[in-house]
Amino acid sequence: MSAVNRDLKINHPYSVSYVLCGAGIRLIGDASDPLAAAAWTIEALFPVRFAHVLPLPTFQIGIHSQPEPDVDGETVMAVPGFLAVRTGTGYHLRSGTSWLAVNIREGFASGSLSSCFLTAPLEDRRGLFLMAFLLLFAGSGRYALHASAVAIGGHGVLLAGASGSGKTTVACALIRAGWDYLSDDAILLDQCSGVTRVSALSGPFHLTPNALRHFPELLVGAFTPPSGGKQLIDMSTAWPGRFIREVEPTAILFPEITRAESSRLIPLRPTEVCLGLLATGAGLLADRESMAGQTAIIAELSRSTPGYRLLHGADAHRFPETLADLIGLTLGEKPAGRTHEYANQF
Amino acid sequence: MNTQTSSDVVTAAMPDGEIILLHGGTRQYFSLNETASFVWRLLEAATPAERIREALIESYDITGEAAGDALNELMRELEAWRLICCAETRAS
Repeated sequence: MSAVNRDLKINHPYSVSYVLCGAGIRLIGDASDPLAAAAWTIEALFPVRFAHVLPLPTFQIGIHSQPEPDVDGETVMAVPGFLAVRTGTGYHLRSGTSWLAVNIREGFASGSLSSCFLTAPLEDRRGLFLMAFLLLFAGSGRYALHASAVAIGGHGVLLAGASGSGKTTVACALIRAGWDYLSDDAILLDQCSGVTRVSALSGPFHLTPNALRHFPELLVGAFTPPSGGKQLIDMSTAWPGRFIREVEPTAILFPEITRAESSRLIPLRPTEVCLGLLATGAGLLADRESMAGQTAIIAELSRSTPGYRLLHGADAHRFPETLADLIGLTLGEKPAGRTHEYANQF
Repeated sequence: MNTQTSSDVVTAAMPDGEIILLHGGTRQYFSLNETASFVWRLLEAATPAERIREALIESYDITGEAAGDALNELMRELEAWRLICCAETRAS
């Protein structure tokens, strides 16, 4: 919170500035308490860093005390506690009694946060800001994927798939084996000069109690109480110095949990990779331009990056180095001098 | 009236010759096999159904009847998924 206070004194009366995924985020408000709570939420949940010089594009998020306007549009997402409506100017997001109106073209969001929202569990506050960021980035041609990302030696590996497929478990196994990490469930794609890069869009990892039993060393980084659901884990506490902000993907894996002892990889055709990524990365974007942009960048990634089904067995957490070697082979990385028998050789 | 690809559809071509379609209205994804991709490209170029049938005969070495049946079946599928519109014209 100290950085917020510092900013309150130095800059605008009520503003905080960050960089997230190479873009500027300027948080402004008409009252210090809601702004500070919003800032704390963003700092806890997203890999932002403070900035006094903001790069372009810079998105502005205004937190004001204002009544929610009447909303007319197409509902594109309605899940318990969260609603997204496509409007004439962008999207209207509502979480409980809090809301943000996102203007994609102009690159700003504005709304009001209720006292209930500001005192709700951290994870319950994530959706509103995550969706706002996702939409704002989409307006500048960068698209989010529901995927984990890890890396070794400059090679990035994306782990894509539905919730419960084991993305986080595989990511944690690889990190335990010495890999670096970006994110466990949200990354941002963008292309520059024909090269696709991924950036970390989400901060803490989300681990189930069962996953935490396999990786007890992560408990030191837990900053939300166990509640039977997923716990938020600050990975830098358990594995400091391993976070990287962006990487070029070299392989795409679709994990599936199996009862086998050994993990194995099954190559996928580019079309299968593309459909798999689209299934995890789309849903909210409803305007044709955004959908076309998202589809194009995912198709290019699928064409240029080999993809595999990863049937991960018990070795994923018991012998993470085995899994790391198996995946490393797809990247051209040499196994680290061990003599395991791989279920699938390349 | 010629059959037209829906303006709600976004496409992506894959290296194996297949095409992926995203329907913006229903938010459903589809992959077209090689033959369907061949037909889709012709539909995008506003090719009349009869000309598509002839192209199928030339490219796949099949009879006119088989090409017509296959094309009509494909058009029905595409229409059912709202990927094409104004599909009154059928190949003979």
